[in-house]
Amino acid sequence: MIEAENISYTYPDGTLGFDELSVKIREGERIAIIGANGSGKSTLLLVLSGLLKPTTGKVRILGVNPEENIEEVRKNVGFLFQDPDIFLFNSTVFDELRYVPSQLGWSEEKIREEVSKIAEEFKISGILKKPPFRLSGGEKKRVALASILIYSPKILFLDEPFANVDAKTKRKIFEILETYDGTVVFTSHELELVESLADRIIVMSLEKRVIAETDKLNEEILRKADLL
Amino acid sequence: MHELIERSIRAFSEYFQNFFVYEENLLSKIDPRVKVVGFTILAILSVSTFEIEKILFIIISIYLLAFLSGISIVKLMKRSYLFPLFSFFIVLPTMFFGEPFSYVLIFSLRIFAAISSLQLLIISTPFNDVISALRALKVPEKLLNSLWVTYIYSYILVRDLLAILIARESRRVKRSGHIETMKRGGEALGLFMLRSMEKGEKVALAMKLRGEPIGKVKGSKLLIPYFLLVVVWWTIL
Ligand SMILES: Nc1ncnc2c1ncn2[C@@H]1O[C@H](COP(=O)(O)OP(=O)(O)OP(=O)(O)O)[C@@H](O)[C@H]1O
Ligand SMILES: [Mg+2]
Repeated sequence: MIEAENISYTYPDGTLGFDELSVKIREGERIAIIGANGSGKSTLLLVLSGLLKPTTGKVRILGVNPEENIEEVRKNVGFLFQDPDIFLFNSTVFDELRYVPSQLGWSEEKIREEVSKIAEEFKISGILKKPPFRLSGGEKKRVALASILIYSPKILFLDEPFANVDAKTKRKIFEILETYDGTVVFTSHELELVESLADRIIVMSLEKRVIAETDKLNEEILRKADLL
Repeated sequence: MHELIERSIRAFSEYFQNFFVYEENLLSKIDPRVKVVGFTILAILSVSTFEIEKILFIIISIYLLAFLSGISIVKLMKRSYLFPLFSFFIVLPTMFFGEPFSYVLIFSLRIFAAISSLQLLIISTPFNDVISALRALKVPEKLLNSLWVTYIYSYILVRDLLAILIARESRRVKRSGHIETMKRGGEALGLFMLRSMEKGEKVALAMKLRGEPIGKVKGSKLLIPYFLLVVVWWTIL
């Protein structure tokens, strides 16, 4: 499903995003990436999804090289950005939700139907006409998540889906991810949620390297990752 | 075409991010005040003459100094070429009014020399040291304040712009037509400006809360998005 070999990423200003690593993710797996602030989780997610081209190494997504057939990749991949502010660029929440469906050629009727369904589910029906950048932090996150889930991509990349939302929304997102029919790769600082949700946990250190791949966290790993 | 546009914006944004990066080298140990005065003089000298020998002399001196201080010449050039390139295209039309090509070339070389000189300063001095040096040189506080706010604010702005482009890309599942792209691009840019203003207000507010005198923030806050817009569209054209 996703294969990355010896990838690393360096930002244009010369900062190392993350150091050389290899990852393999199978279909239907739920993978969590954890690590201290600045350990490279967000950057890794961007590279694994084909949005940033790795500085070294190669990524294949669904058997495709994203540089060769980017449209095939985009159709099947949804990405939730850590900062929903940069993610929401349409002028209303409604436009935000229909952004990908209209590119996929859905009929107006189907779009309206699906939008109201997902808006109901995420409790955003009342703000469909508002400009997204004027919403509260948690509302933004819900809108962003809804606008990805509406087209049911095969792979979800979620950068901190549980951050900045209230307890009820958190539970809701947890349930959705738990039953999602597809591959989910996410980052989070909520270790309990991570352990109960993920099939596999990738642990990154402040040296921006992978220091463990496990399904169970323990004190030693957390200490090494500067999380304890 | 629109890929070219996005690519140019991206290249510009990356260029800009690089523009202010400082690194340790032999020059960093020198008193910032000296560097500020020295490199500013070199920059002024470069743009105050049209004699090719003088300009080449300055360029060679700058790059020689860079080489001697262990700064990569290629890197310095990479960080300096964009503005001269802009100016090249801006003055190119003067050829229609009878100016020789050498004029266009020399004009751009002057800019190249001036920017290289300032780049050499920036590459060897953290930006806040540049500010302190200017303060020590009795440059008015108000001016320094707006310079500092401008620096932080445009840095945030450009970093955001790049992030937004990547986020937009993440949801572009189909190649859209030319006009559609222009329309959407225009919309997105407009929205970006609007949000930037609001963010600018927040940055100013945050500085105020921490007791930073704000000075002329208001003006620069409005002007930067304007300049950025002009420059971005200019890159596209
Ligand atoms: N746009 C950027 N330009 C330059 N450096 C960056 C940029 N974004 C991130 N970095 C740097 O890359 C490294 C990894 O950052 P990243 O955002 O991937 O960390 P993270 O693990 O997601 O952190 P957090 O838990 O705070 O979200 C950090 O050292 C950071 O400073
Ligand atoms: Mg992150």
